This record gives sequence, structure tokens and C-alpha cells, in this order.
Amino acid sequence: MSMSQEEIEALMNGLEVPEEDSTSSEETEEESIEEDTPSQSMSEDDIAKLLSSTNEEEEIIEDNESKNADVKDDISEVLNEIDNMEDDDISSDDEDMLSQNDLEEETEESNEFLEEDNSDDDAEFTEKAKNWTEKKITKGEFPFPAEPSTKVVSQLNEVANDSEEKAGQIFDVLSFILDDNAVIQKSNKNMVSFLDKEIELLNALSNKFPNINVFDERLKEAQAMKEITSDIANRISAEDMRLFEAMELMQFHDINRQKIERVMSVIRKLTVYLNNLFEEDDDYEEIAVAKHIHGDSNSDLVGAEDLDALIAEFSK
Amino acid sequence: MKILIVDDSSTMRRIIGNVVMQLGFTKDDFDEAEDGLKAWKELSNKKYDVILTDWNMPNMNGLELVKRVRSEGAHQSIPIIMITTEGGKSEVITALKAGVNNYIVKPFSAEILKEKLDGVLK
Repeated sequence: MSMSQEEIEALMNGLEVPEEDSTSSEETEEESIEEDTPSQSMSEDDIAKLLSSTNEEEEIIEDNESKNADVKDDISEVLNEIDNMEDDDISSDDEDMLSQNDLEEETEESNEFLEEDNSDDDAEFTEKAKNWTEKKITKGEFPFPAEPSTKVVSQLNEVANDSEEKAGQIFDVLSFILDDNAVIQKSNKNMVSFLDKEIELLNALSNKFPNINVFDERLKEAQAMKEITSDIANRISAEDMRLFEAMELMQFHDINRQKIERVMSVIRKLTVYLNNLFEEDDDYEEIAVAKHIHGDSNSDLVGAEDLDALIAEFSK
Repeated sequence: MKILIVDDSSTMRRIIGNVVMQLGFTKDDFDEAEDGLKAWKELSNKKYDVILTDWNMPNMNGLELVKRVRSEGAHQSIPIIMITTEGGKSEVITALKAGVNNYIVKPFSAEILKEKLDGVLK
């Protein structure tokens, strides 16, 4: 690596600033010169000394460059050797490498979030782990964890109880409207009673004073108001009937609850049956099971030729 | 006239109570019990004229209640109407054999209950 002219000049300028003990004598000389003749130019000897020291520095730089070049050569040689070694390995252990690659691909997904999250905090890590697990559950690769929210019978029981509670609340609302309607009907009856008396009075006045039009007009208005109250009463009665219908329809809540209870009963019985079917009479010990059995469609199985080759290799 | 309504579903008890009120009865005319055991306690303490009971209930079911009422206590001749989702012929026969006077399959209408009530009260 060659230095640029600027770098050399900078290096030369740097020599004027003493850093090493070897140049201390030169410094003192320079300082004395500067002190004695601050405005005078340097002497020929000083220049020669400076040049010689500069030459020495250039030689040091050249040495460093040559050393750097040697190091580069060494590194390239090492890299070449590594490349050769890798080529050899691939050619000799091709199948091993392929199977290893397959394994890496399989585990790549599972390690993905672990590699990313080394520097993350626990909360983020937990969140990513949860998402990864949920993906696996969605794909059907992992089963649902046996938690209260995923236990079938307990969930169905919760649905039945919640539904019962909400049905009670709906019933409260319907009952409130019915009670309110009853109050309106009572007030309406009082109004009808008042209007009947008014109509009776106005009718008498109208008959007694046929020339006074206001009695007749008020009578007609009172009769019209009575018709309105009658309409209100009919509408409220119809609304009550609708409410009763809604209450009757709520019987289906009870019917649906019983259907859910029937399903729960079937699952409970099935659980007992499966437990009876699979349970063992005595305590059992964990048995070692074979990883590779004849007939398995596993890429990692060894053939007869491969087996002989392996035995031959290990027999050497 | 005093009616005892027996059903484990609070919604169903309210529905039956409401239907009974539509027939002209008041809230004071009926009591509620959530299973056969509690109904039996009510029957031990008060005098009733009609029992409207569900079949499937915890602790003591409707059929057991009917059998017990018919076999012991002060209400052996009381009219009993079973109101249940059990709509099978064999279930109806079983209930009638146990001593129920009439049988209503859910869901039912106010008219049906009125008709059956009138029938058992005659």
C-alpha cells in the first residue's frame, strides 16, 4: 500500500512534534535554535538531519507496507486453503451435507424467532414465541393446550351458564316493558274515564244550547280524543302480545341449553370410555421405541449397500 | 288457587309464570322451585292446587318428584302437569304411568297451557 503525497507531508509535519525519547535531543536542539534565532531559517546541518530522519521514516513506512503485503499474501493463502478444504469436504461428504441442510431447513423456522430475539427484551420474545406457537396450532402441527378456555366441556358449560344469565336479563327487560305498558294502560283508562264525563257534559250542553257552537266543537274534540285513547289501548295490547310471544320464544333458550348439556354428557361418557380403553391395569415404565423401522418413509434410513459401506469404512 | 312451578331453568320458570299470569293469575298465585327436592320441601310447608314440573333437573328429577308426591305426603291427589323437552312416546308413557295428569312438550304456547290447566282442574 503506497501512501499519498498528502499523507507523507502530514507524516513529515508530525515529525516536528516530538513523541519518542529518541528524538528528545533533536527537540532540544530545535527548541534552542528557535529560542536563539526565532526568525532565522534552518541551517544546512539541521536540514540534513531532518532529511535523514525523514528518510528513516520513509524506510519504516516501506517496511510496514512490505509487511502488510506479506500478511495479505498469508491471509489469501489461508483463505485458499480453507476453500480447498471445503471443496474436498463437499465432494466427499455430499450426502451428509445435504441431509444436514434438510435438518437446518426444518429447524430454521423454529429457530427463526430465537435468532432474531437475542437482544430483545422478555416481553417481545414472549410475544413472538406466542405468535409462533399459535401459527403451529393453526396449521394443526401442535395440539391446543389443555387450558380452561380450550377444555370442551368446561367451555360448553360456560356457554350454557352465560346464556342462562343473559336470557334472564332479556326477560327482565321484557318484563319492565310489560309493567310499563300496564302503567300506561291504567293512565289511559283514567283518561278515557275523564273523557267520557267530558263528552257527557258537552253533549248535555250542546243539546241545551244548540246555538252555541263552542259546545258542539268541544264535544267533537273530546270524541276525537277518546278515539285516540282507544287507539293507544289497542296498540299497547298488541305490543303486550308481541312481548308475550317473545317470552314464549325464549323457551328455545332452555331447549338449546339442554342440547348443549346433551353434548356435554356425550363427551363426558366418551372421556370415561377412552380412559377405560387406553388405561393399563398396572403401573407402566416408559419403553424405548425404535426411531427407524423397516417400511418407514424416512429420508434418513440406511440401505443395505450404505450399511455395508459404513461397516467397511469403520472396519479400516 | 295456588300453583307450584318446578324447573331448574330460571328463564323457564319465568316463562311459565308469565303464561300463568296471562291466564288471569297473579304473582301471589304461584311459587317456584328449582329442583324436585326443593319442590318437595315447598309441598311439605304449603298447600298447593296444581304442580307444573319439568323432567330433567338436578338433585331430584321431575319423575322422581311425581312418584314421591303420589306415594307420600299431603298432595297425593294433586293435579300434576309435566312440562318438558322429552317428547318421546316412551317418556310420555313413563310419566303417565308415574302419575302425571297431563303432559306438555316444550316449546308450548299459552293456549296449550290454558287448555291443559282447564283439563286437570275440572
